[in-house]
Parts: sequence; C-alpha cells; structure tokens
Amino acid sequence: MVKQTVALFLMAVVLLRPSCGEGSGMQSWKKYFFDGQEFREGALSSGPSVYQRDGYLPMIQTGNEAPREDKLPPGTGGAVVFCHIQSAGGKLQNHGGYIPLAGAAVEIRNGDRMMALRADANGYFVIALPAGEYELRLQGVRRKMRVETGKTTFVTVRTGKRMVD
Amino acid sequence: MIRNPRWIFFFFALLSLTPCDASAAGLDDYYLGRFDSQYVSHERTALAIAAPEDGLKERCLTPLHRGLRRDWSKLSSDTQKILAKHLAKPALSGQEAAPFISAEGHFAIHYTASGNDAPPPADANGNRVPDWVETVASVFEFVYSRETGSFGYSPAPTLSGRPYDVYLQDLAGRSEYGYSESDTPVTPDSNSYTSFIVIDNDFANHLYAPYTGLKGLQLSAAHEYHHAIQYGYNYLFDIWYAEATSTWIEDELYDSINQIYNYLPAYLRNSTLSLDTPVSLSTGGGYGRWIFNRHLAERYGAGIIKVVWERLKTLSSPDGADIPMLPIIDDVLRSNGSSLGSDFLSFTKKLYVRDWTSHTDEIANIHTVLPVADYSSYPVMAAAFPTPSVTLPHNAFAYVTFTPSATAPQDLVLTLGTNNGTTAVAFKKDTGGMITEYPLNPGAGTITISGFNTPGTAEVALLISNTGISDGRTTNFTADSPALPPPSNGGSSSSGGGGCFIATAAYGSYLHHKVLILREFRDRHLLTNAPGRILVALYYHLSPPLADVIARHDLLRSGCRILLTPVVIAAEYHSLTVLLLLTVFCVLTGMFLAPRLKSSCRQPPLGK
Repeated sequence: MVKQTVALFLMAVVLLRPSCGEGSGMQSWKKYFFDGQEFREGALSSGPSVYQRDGYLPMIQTGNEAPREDKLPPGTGGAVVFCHIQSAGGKLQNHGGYIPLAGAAVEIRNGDRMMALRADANGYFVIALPAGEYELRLQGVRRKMRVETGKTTFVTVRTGKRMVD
Repeated sequence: MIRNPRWIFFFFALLSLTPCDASAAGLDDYYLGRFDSQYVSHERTALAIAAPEDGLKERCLTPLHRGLRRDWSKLSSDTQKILAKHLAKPALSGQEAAPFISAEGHFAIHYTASGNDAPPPADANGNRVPDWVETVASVFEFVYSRETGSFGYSPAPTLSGRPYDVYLQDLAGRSEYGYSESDTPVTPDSNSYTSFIVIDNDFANHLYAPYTGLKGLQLSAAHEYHHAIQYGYNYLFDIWYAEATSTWIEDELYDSINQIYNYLPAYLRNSTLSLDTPVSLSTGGGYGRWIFNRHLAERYGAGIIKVVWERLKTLSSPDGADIPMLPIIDDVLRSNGSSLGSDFLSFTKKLYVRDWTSHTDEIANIHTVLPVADYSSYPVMAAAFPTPSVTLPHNAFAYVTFTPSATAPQDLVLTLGTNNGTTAVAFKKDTGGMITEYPLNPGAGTITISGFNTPGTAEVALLISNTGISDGRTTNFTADSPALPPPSNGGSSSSGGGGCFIATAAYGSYLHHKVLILREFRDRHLLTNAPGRILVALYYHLSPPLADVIARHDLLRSGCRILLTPVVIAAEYHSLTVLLLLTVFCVLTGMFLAPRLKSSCRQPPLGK
C-alpha cells in the first residue's frame, strides 16, 4: 500500500512540475529564469522566462503562451545572453538581485568577424550562431561563449554592481 | 564584410530583436547615434556589422548624460527603452540645479530644488545653494580626507579627473540610506571602475531613526565612498568583504555614531555560518562581519585592511566572477607571519574574552557571544539535548556553555572528537568576570577545567572554531563522560548551521542544489525566529538516526526525495505550489485509502 501511495504521489508531482505540461505546444520546451547568479530551470511569478528546446531558437517571454517554434538553421546553435548589473546589500531591507541592462549594445566576435546586438527592454537577446567559440564584449567586460549545433548556450554578462545600504 | 554565407542566419535572430524605431525623430536619432558610438559603430538597425577595435571613443559623457536626462520626455518610448541604461544615474524629481562643487573640488553634489528629491531649502548664508547641500559637500570632503589621507586609500577614480558625482534623491521610500554603483571602466578592459553615489536627500524620515539628519549623512558618506574606492581598486571584489570594510570604516571616521554595533547580534546568532557568508541582515553576512576587520586592525594596524584591497587590485578573474577575499586575506596575513586560520582563532577567542584594544569605551556595545547550546545537567552524553555535536563550515565558530548545578562534577572534563581544521579551547569565567583559558590536551582529546563546581564559577565556555578552509567539520563532545557520540557521516551532513540530515541523505550530497535551497530556507526563514529555531533544534535532534537509515537504502532515498519535492518547490518558487501539491496528495491518498478502510470496517471482528 505504501508503494502505491508513493507512486500516486509521484504521478501528481510529475504532472504538476512547473516546467512542463502548461500547454500542448510546450511539451518539449523547458523554462529557465535568472536567479541573480545563474540560469535555473523553472519560472518566476513575474518577469521574463527563457524557453529552451534543442534544435529551436530559444525565446524570451513573459507570459505562459506557447513559444514560437523557429527551428535553428542547420549548423547553428542558439544563444541566450542576459546583460545586467548586480545589486547587493541593504541595511534596512535586502536589495540583493539584479538590474537588467535594457538596450545594452553587445559585441560578438569570432576571429576577424564582429557583429553587434542590442538587448531588449529586459536585458536579453537571443541569437542563432554557427557552432564555434565566440567572445562577447560589453563595456569593459568580456565573456567567452561556446555554441554547439542544435544546443542552447546561456550567457550572463554582468557589467557592474550596485551596493545598496 | 560577411564572407561566410552562414552568417546570413544572423538575420534570423536579429530580426526578432530590433527594438529600434526606424521612424524616430531627430532627437531620437541624435541620442541613439551618440550613445551607440561609445562602444560600437553601426547602422541604426542591429545587423551584423564591423566595428573598430578600439573601445570607448568619447571620454567625457557627462554633458551627453545631462542632455539625455533633459530631453528624456521628448524621446519615443522605443528610444527610451534602448537608452534607459544610460539613465542609471538618477533622474531627479525636478530640474537639476547646477551641481555644487565641494570646497576642495573633489565632489559634485547633484540636486534639484523641486519635487520629492529636493533637499531642505534653508539657505542661511544666502548664496542660493541650500545649506544642506553645502553640508553634504563638506561631509564628503571630510570623508575624502580621512579615507584617502589618513588611511591612505587611492581616491575613487573619475573620468578625466572630474569631481566625483554624488546625487541627492529621496530614498526613504525604497528603504535605502544610499547606494554606490559602478559606472565605466577607467580604461578599456580594466577592472578599475568609476562610480557614482546616491544618498537620501535629507535623512529626515523616521525610517532612519535614530540616525536621522547629519548622522545618517555621515555614516552613509563614509560607507559609500569606501565602496567607490573599492570599485576603483577592482570592481570584482567579494561583496561580503566590501560591506564588512565599508561598515568597519564608518566607525573609524565617526566614532560616536555607533550604528555598526547593531549588526553584531545577527552575526553572533549565526556564527556557525562562514565568515564570508553572503550579505544578509538576518545572518549578519557582510555588515556584521566588520568586527573581523577591527580584530585585524588592532593586531596589525588599520593599514592591513588597505593591503588586502591593494592585493585585490593586482588580481583578475578570467571568467568575470568575483574574486574570493578569504585567500587574499590569508595571503596578506601570511606575509605578516600569521595566517587566516590563526587569526580567525584569536578573533573568535577575543569575542568571548573581550580584550579589545581599540575603541575601548565602546566594548560594552559589542554583543556577547551567543552559545549554540547550554548544558547544566551532567553528565552530558551522546543522547543529551541539544545533541553534543557541532558541524561547521569554513571559518565559522560555535560557543557551547556549561553552567554549574547540583549534578555538576567538581572538575569538568570535556572529551572531544574533532576533524582536522577544527580547534577547541575552553574558558572558565568566574563570578567576578575573570576568565581563564584551558587548552585542549591533543593527545587525550580532553579539556579539564578544575574547580568547575565551586561557588566562584559562573560558567565554562567551549569554543569550537573551524579555522580551516573545508566545510562540514564536525566536533562531537561530552562532558563528565568519556564516551563520545558516534562520529557523524564524514562531516558531509551537519547540524548547528550546517546542512539538513535527511535532505543530504536523500539527495546524496551536502552540495546538491536542492539541499542548498533547503539550507537557505532554514537560514532565512527558520533560524531568524524563535519558533523556527525550536523546530530546527528538534529536527537536528530527531533526524540523524533516520538519515543514517535513509542514506543506506536507495528506495528510501528515492521516496524521501519525492516527499521533499513539495518542500523544495515551496522554498524555491512559491508556497502556493506546495499547497496545491499537498492537496492533490491528500485527495489521492484519501481516494486510495477510503475504499480499503471501508472494506476493513465491514469485516467481522476476529474470532466471531
């Protein structure tokens, strides 16, 4: 009886996991959010989520609607870049977190080729790139980024800190 | 420009993320073009482009920022979204007056004369500058002279040597005294950043009591300007030490304000968390750890704190992560003939003995240590409550006290079993406040305190200090009983500030991220209130035997993970989720059990 009860509970847990089962078109998509340090699977109650699915261009969305299914072009991988300033401290209340860099202009370099992108109002951009090694530059910050065919790479670019007291 | 046809795929992504408004009017075009040119040179739309290798082109951005702020309302909403980051420096509630330059020319005080952000308008000397603005300027000049002059820190860098920007803004509604924010690298690819400071416009709100007015200004100026100095040294500083240093220096500059002592109880309540635990008011992380700097300053002179920051200045981080400060502190102390471990032990002793040599008239403000357990019934054996065992992460400590009672032995013998890296020492305090230190007999693993059960003895305090860099170091102890509690499972699970026994057993590792979530939940929501602490103490008392069984059976571990799932989800996401899960679980369990209970009720009693 214990095993059956556990099995039932397991089914309930699986069915109610927040990262799946929210719509028929989202069965294979995984949701991620930035927790202030790194991307984690799951979603915040508010704010944008990153939808990731192998072979598809990742999407940044704030709602729960099914993401648009844009297949990655052959030989490319997806990249999600998030630009922000870290916020820390708080003598009166905790102000730990991050401030998105809306409209940040990011350079992407690969050998002698270079391009520039703007982050959206939430500090994100997504892009499909040929597999390979890249360098991101934003203000004085540089980040290495490895793109693999059909996969999604998550990169966070922190350009500074706000120390709140 | 684009030789590889595959780069055409960039369009695929780029077309979906071009917030630029192609029909933006003249002002939009002007600001978009000027700000774009700071980092890259490209067309209005975000297509693949080539850019010059050199980074910043325009060194002085202040006029451009001012213009952007002035014309903000005239820009289209799309342009505002794009350029919002350039308004990180605050836009004040009214027209900004000409910045007031401090007497020595080191600071530009930005303020407005209208709206919520306006400082008190009184202008006793009739120079059309509010007196408060002049006070702010003079306070910052004093802070500058002390921090860069007396203490010898390099001034906070500014572009082209311009005055440092300080903004006055109403921050009470945001529950902030002030903040400092990194701005731009001093040179391309440098870790030395310029910054700016925003402080409350008057510190008049009751929120700041009893540090309203001048006191609030003084402690904020001292604190924030040191952050500005830190950005100049290396913006990849470890945040806990940045707060510990900025807090420490407040009292070095303004000795009579004494706000810093308010942060000590949280640290001493959470001494079982590491010295470099993340910044938090509830755990004393960062702010409360300032007292370690006072210990270092007393032992080596205040200059040693500067040496630590200067050492950080020479370091870089290939992945852009913050640079941990504890190894740097250790390095600096070793070059002074000591080590972090050695000084951490002497620091934790000093917290009990209270033999501080500076600010001696303020020693009473330093909260006494807060023991994790107190025993008055003897012998203290393995089954005692609280469990006579402490597990500590790196650079953490715990005090355990023993008070004389009718069952107390004449001489108290403490028997300890410790891991490497953990040091134990006992103190006997008499009723007159005299303290005697009793070292550990390393061969026997005992500390013998003679004359414990005598009228003159107030208490015995056992200090267990993890002076090493490894986490999960367990020390078991008994009092007046030679038998030690059974050793814990290698120190990977813990009590008293460590991990969660059952979760660690279920997930197989103290470092599993779900265990981390539960630990964070415990530290933030349970250890911060009395009922929560009782719950945690009970959990640590009852769970070790269960955890041992769970850890040995895969099926139990799997089951445990399932049962813990709603708790982890609740801790991680939202409590509503767990309510939903528990409801479903209860309904399903009820549906499953109800028919069986009914049928069992219908069965005739046995023997009939």
